[in-house]
Amino acid sequence: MVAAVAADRLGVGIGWRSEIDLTVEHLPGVEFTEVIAETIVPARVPESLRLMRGRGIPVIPHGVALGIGGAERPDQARLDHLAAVAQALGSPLVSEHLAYVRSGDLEAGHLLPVPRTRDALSVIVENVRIALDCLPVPLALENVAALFGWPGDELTEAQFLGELVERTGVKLLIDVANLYTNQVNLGLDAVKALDALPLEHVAYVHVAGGHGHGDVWHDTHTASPPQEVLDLLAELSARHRPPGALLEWDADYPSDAVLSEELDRIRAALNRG
Amino acid sequence: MDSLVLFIPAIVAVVLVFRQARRVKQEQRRVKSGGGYAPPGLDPYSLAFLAGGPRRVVNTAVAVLVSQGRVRISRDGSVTAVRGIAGAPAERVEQEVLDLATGVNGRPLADIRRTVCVGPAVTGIDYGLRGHGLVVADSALTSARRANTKLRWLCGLAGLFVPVSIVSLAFGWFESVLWSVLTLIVSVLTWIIGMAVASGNAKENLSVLTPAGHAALRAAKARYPRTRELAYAHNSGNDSTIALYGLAIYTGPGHAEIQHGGGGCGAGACGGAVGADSGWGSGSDFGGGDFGGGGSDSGGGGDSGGGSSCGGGCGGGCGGS
Repeated sequence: MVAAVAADRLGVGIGWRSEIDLTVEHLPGVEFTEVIAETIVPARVPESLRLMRGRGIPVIPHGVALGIGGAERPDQARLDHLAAVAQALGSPLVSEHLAYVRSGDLEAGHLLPVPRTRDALSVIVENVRIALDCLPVPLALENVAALFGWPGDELTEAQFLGELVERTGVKLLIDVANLYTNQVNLGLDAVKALDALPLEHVAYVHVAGGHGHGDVWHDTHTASPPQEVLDLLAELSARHRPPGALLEWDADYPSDAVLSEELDRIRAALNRG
Repeated sequence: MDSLVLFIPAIVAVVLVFRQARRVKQEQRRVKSGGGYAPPGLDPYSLAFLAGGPRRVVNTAVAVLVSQGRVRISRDGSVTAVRGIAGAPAERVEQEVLDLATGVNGRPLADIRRTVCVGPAVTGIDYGLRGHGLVVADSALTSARRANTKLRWLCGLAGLFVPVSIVSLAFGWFESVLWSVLTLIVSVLTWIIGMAVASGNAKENLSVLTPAGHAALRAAKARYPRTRELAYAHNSGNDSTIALYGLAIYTGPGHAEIQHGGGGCGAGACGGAVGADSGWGSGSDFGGGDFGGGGSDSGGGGDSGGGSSCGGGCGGGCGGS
């Protein structure tokens, strides 16, 4: 186990993927990184991550399969795994998606949005409390890029997240690319969301690029973040500077130089705010 | 009983061993004769083939692409194409590597080696060198390998007389010890010399280089001496040094990962072996060159390990070069 590091100032980072491990290790200006928790075996942490931890770079496990937004209790084995990964990496916090991913044994295969009703909120509050009890470090929940909106929502996403934070003490991982995606695809105003979100509880921010096809924005994490996403980051930073901002890039990787420029753009957007 | 009973069969075995040794040499000369011609300024990938076989060709291409920033290699040996690099690679083998690395998650280096080793580009290099008489088809050495296997068996036969003559001396089977002592001496010498010759033959049977190929390789090595600094400097335009000496002298980006990245020889897809003075089976800093020295011509008995067109030289180390 590696000693944990503080989460109050993470800086600018990039998501660690095995294909670009050497790039992430050597890229100048990487102050923290994030790894998909489900890809890590706690007893066999990849050498690249161990080296980065040895250099004092925080590594945040990012879960994609807990399904904390479901009606069922969070799966204990998944929680235990998240906890074990966090301990193995000495992580300052772990993050997950506020999403609904399965019912029983039936997997959705997507990070589905949760119904924003008071009943759903009560269930999710309980799920989050269970998760917080099981995890050795704070948990941050991420807003998702919604494929659709549920009928009968009683709260906006910002209101829903705000109440969740207030009732559980959970932190937030705000994905500005997801806010942008929901703005383009569902007409949800991203700046208004920033106005209403409890930004002082943001642990860090995700930034990513995607591709537009007609009126639809695909949050693919395979392209440079568009200026609109960076503008949202600047808006967020202007309201309350987040402890960290992380570039997500999951495939079709460009050169190290391009990735380094993207980190500079993120840094500039943070400073612009 | 006269101890000539022991000596005469031993002499027959000696004759058989040396006659067979001559046959192996004749077969090797037959296969590799026919004057070759090395065109001036062989390209780096032809030199890589001469020096280290298909695996050296692929390793050189990967090193060139990584140093050019066209692909990146991860710690676990996955090779991934880098997006947005203008232009196409200069060489066909580089394009084949790049095509394989262009998938969503790239491709393990071992897979790339296996695939490109038997791909059109490497095959083209092989046939080009055959056309110039610098190499021969690996399968052309099958008869020489079989003959060498037979030589080893005959050495074993000659060697049988060693314990027999020792026992005869110990138990005093014969009145005169002279012929038993002579049998012992002749058998020991025949076994030692025969096995040494067979071992040399085996090494030569790993090599598909003709005398002209060896000469071309020596000339290239004289032109591009082994220098680590040169190897990296040459990445910008002259990759002959890596081609000739392997990844052991490559110090550019991803050098450790390319050197240790995942083998790729196990399936025998890397072709046969080349020359005793080449990187094939020898001469590398990393576990015996690009082919690690597999593919003996007697390992399995019979027709043996090096006989197929692609099985021979790959079995051993995958340690780089």
